[in-house]
Amino acid sequence: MNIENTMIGTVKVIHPVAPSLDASNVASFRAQIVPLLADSQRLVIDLDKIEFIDSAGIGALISCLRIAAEGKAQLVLCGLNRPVKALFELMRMHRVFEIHQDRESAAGAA
Amino acid sequence: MKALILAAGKGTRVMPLTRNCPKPMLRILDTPVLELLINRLREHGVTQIMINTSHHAAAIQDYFGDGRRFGVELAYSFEGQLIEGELVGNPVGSAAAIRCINEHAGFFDDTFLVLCGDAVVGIDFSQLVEHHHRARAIATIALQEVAPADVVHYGVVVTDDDGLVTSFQEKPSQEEALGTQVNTGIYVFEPSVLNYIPDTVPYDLGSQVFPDLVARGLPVLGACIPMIWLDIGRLSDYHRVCMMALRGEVPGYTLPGRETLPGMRFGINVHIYPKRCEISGPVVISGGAYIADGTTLVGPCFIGAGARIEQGARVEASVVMPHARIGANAHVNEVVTDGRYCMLADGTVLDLAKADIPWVVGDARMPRASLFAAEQRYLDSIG
Repeated sequence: MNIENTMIGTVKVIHPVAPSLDASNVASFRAQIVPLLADSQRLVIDLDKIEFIDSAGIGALISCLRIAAEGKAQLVLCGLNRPVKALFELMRMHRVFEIHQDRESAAGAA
Repeated sequence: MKALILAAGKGTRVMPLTRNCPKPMLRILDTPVLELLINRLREHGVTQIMINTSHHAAAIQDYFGDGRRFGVELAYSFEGQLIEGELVGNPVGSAAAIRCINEHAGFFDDTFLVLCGDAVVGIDFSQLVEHHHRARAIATIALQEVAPADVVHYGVVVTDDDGLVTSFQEKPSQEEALGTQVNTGIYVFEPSVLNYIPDTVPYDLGSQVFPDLVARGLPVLGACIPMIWLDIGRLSDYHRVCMMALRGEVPGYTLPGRETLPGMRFGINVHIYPKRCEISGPVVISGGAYIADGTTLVGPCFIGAGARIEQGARVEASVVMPHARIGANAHVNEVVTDGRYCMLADGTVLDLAKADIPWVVGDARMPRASLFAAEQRYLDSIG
C-alpha cells in the first residue's frame, strides 16, 4: 500500500492511497503507519481515497488509535467516503474516533 | 375489463433488493407491490389479468397462482426458455409482450389496461378509462406532475390544450425539459393499437409505440387525474415508500399485526417486554421476532418475521427484513437491511458479508457461537 506522509504545521497527515482498507492490505498499512505514530502530538489519517473498509480495516484503525493514545498523541480521521462513513455509523465508530470533513479542519481543530 | 401487468423487468436499479426476486415482488413491509396493484384492479372491477414474467418468473407465479386467493383470474406469459433445467429470462419489451399475449388467444378484445408492476398506485381506473373514451383515444397515458428537479428520472410527456400528447422526452435535463408531467406506466389501450406493434423483438411502448402513434397523428391522451403514484425506481424510493406505509400513507395498504399498544403492532409470538425497551411508534413487529431488553426502536420501524434485535441496539426509521439480526449495541438509522446487505435511505449499499461484520448486522439464523468472540472484541473496542 502506498502511504503519503506530509505535514500541516506541526500536524502529521497520513494519506493511504488505495481504494480499500481491508484484510488484503491491512498488514502493509499497519507496518507503515505504526512507526509514524511515535513522533507527533497530533496525527491525521486522511481516508479520502478509501472507498471500502472492512472489519479488519476498522480493527487496524482502532489499534492505531490505541498506540497513539499510549504515546499521548491524538489521532483523528478525515475524508471519509459515504460507504465508509456509513459503516462507521453502523458500528458506532464515529463515537470512538474524532472525525473531520477534510485534512485542513482535522489539522486545525487541535 | 382486462389488464396486463408488466413484470418482466430485471430491477437493476434496485439491486441488491432484486437479486433474488423480481421487482414487482418487492414487499412493502409484508405485501408485494404486485399484490397491492392486483387488489386495486379488483376494486375497480378489473378481474382478468395477464402478467408477463421473465426474471425470477417462478417467484411471481408461485405466489399468485391462478389468482383465486386474490379474487381475480390470472395467467402468465413467460418470456424466456428452460435451458438445461434453468429458466432463463429473455424479455421481449412491453409492446411485444402485448402482441405475444394477443397472438396466443386474442386476449385483448376490448379496451384494456396496461400497468407497470413496480409502482404503488392509488388511482381511479374507472375515471381514467372514462377520460380515454371521451377523448376517443387509441391510447391513454396516466400522467403525474413532478417537481422540476425530478424530471431527470422520468419520461416527460408534453400535451396540447386538449390533453392530447404532442411529444415525449426520456429523462431530459431540467433545462431541456418541456414540461413536468411524466409517464407513470399506467396505460389504457384500444385493441386497434395492436396494428401498430410490428413483429419485431424487442419492441417497447414508451420509446417506440407511443412516439409512432403520435407521429401518425393518432389520438394519444395524456390524462392528468388525481392519483397517488409511488414509483419504486431507486433504492431510496423503496425506503421512502416503506416509511410511508408505516405512517399509514400508502393507499389501500393495511398494516400487518395487531395494535397491542398505541402505535405498536405485533404479530404472534413476538418476544418482547415493551417496558424494558424504549419504543416510539409507528412500529410493526412481525410474528416470531425477538426484541431483546434494552433496545430502542424509533418509528417508523418495521421488524420482519423471525428477525432479532439484540440488547442495546437502536433501530430508527428502518426496515429490518425477515431473519435479519441487528447485533448488540449496533445502531441502524434510515436503512433497509436483509442481513446480507444494508441499504441506506440515500441509496448507498453496504455489502455486509464483504465488510465482514456479521456480529453487527447479519442473519439471525447464523450460529450464535460464531459471532460471540468477534462481538465481544467489538463491544470492548467501543467501550
